[in-house]
Amino acid sequence: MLSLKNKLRVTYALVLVCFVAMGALAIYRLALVSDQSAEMSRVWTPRTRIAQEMHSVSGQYRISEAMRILSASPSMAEHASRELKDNADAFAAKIAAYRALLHKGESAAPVDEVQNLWEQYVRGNELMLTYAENGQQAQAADRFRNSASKYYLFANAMDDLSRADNERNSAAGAVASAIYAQSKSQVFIAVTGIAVLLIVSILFFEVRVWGVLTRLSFAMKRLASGDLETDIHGTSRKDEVGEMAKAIQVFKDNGIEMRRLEAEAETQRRHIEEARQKNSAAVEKAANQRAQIVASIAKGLESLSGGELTYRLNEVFPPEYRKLQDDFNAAVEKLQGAMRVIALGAKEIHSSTEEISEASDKLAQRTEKQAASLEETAAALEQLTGTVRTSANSAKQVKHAVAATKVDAEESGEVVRKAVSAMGEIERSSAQISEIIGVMDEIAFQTNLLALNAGIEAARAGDAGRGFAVVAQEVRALAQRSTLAAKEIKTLISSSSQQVASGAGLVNDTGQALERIVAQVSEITHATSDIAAAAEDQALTLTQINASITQMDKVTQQNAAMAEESTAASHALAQEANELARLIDQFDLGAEVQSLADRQPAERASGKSREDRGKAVLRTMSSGNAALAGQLETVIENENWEEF
Amino acid sequence: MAASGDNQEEVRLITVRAGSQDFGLDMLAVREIRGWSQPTPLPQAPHFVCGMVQLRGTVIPVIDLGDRLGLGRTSPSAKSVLVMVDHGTRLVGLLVDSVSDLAVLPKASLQPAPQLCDGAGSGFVDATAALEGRILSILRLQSVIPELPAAAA
Repeated sequence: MLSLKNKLRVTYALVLVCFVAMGALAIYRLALVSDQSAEMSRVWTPRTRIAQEMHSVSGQYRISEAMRILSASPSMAEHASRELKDNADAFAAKIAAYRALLHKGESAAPVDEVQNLWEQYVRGNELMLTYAENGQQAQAADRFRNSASKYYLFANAMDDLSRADNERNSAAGAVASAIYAQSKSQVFIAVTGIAVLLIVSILFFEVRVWGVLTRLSFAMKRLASGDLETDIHGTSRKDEVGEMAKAIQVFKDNGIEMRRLEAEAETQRRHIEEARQKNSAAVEKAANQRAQIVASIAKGLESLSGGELTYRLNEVFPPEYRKLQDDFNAAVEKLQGAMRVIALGAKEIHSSTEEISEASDKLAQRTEKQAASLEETAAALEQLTGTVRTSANSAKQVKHAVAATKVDAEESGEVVRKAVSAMGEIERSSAQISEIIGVMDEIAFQTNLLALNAGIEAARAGDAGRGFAVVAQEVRALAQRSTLAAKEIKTLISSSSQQVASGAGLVNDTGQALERIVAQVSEITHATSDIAAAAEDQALTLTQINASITQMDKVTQQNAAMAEESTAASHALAQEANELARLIDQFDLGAEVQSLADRQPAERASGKSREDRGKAVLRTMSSGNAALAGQLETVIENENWEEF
Repeated sequence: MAASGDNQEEVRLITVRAGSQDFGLDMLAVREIRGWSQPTPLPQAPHFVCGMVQLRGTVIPVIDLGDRLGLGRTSPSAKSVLVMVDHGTRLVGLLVDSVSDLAVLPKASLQPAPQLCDGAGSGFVDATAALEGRILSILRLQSVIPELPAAAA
């Protein structure tokens, strides 16, 4: 049997197929009708119309012929001739349009026949028109009457053509109507089928599915309210509803099983209650005895908790609790012994830790002092490093300054050389000046001679030459003055040359001195470089020393911190030892231990030096249990300490 | 011949220096004064003849005046001067250290040369004159310039 889902799918598919088939059929039929109507509107109707128009045009032609024959005036004749031509052209156009609407493969015989008849008619009347043209109206009218038979032949053929077209138009309309009628009945049948199918499927679901589901939901509500007697329908079905019904059946079965289990548990509980009531009497008796024992043990434990380790259980215990009494007493005994040993140990630890803390205090103090000294040393070294660095920098600066000086001195040497050459130039210029002065002197000499000659000539001329003699005298005086001036200049030049020579010598000396200075400056440069290098080395070394000192300082600081930590630890240890002693004092251990605890500090203070005490402590700590045993021997002979 | 200026009230002289002495020469006897130019030596000439120079195409003998006057040989320099004198038809150059001045002296101020003994010295000096504290010896040219036969020899 199909599941509900598949049933639904099948139904929907059937409905869908019917719809699609119906739609396809309708579309196909509509296409056929459309074809027919298109044929009618596109071909048959126009052909019928054109045929009628051809008929009317031919009639018009004949009327025009009559008009032509009967025309009385030339204007009328011309009008009729024009009409004739127009109608003939119109007929030719119409018949061409008609031919264009012929189907492919359709016989053109009827149209050809119409055209033939028309052409025969037109040709037959050509003579008539000639008569009409020539004014022979009687002959023309005669021919017109005779041509009527030809025209009727043509008109009959024309009618046949029109009728045939009309018939075929009607036939196409009939075909379209037939297709429509057929389609209408087919679509009606399809719609009816689909409606029936839908109704059947709805009824099927109503009866077969919704009815059963309603009953199942009712049964589930009953089950939920606790009615387990309800019947479950439809468990035998094989679809989803059947599965649901089976699941609800399982719920029902589980409910019935749970009720059965609850009843069984109730019965068991009743049995257990009865057994418990039977046991309670025997238990009460044993409890009384146990309470007594517990009370005495509680008393013992109370005194123990109060620190009284000398307490023992001395009452007579029932035989089954005797073991408990013995064990308690033995435990307290052991505890007392152990506490005694712990008390002694605590005293010893206390005194030792005091010494340790004293020693570590001193150590911490010294370490701090050392750290302080190291810090001071580091600071001093830092300062020293700074000083050395400064002197190294100064040495560098001196080096640079000296180098600059050297450069300056070398430049000065160059200047001196230039000065010497300038002096040489001056000397050369002086020599040239001297030469020029010589020339001037020579000129003056020659002038003087000329003036003398002039004077002589003037003297020869007697009184007439007197004025000329005066002029010559003046020229001589001038020449002599020139000579004197030249002499003076010569003197000056020579003295200047001497001075220039001595200046050149001095400048040379300066140059030599400068060269010596340059050499010495070079030596100074080397020396300062050495100094600078040495200072750098010193600074580097000092930096290294400083780093070492800083390292030492750091280590010492760490030592100091550690010493302080150990001091704090030893103090804390001493406190802890005190606390231990105080705690142990809370216990009552018997008189012997107290006396020992009092005696030990007295022995410590009896004049041993600190070093001895320290050694003693070390010895005590290193020799361990044996030394401890030696000290404790006199007090507790009976105890076996090696074992402890 | 100093006679050319004798009939005048004053004498015109050229004062020259030769052998550190001042001498006067009759201005009218002097043709020209020239600067020193090295003379061409004259073979077999007397020691006081320096040689010969050209003056505008004419060859002229040159006499060292200092040497001629017995005052020692003149060492010629650029400042040395040749004084060309007319002696009759001849031109003779006299080498002197320098030409000092042109002097016009009143005839009255001339004194005759001192007469110590006959002969030599006085033959060369016509007269003397005091000029600016110095004694100016006015030379007798006919004595200074040797006679023609000697010169020609």
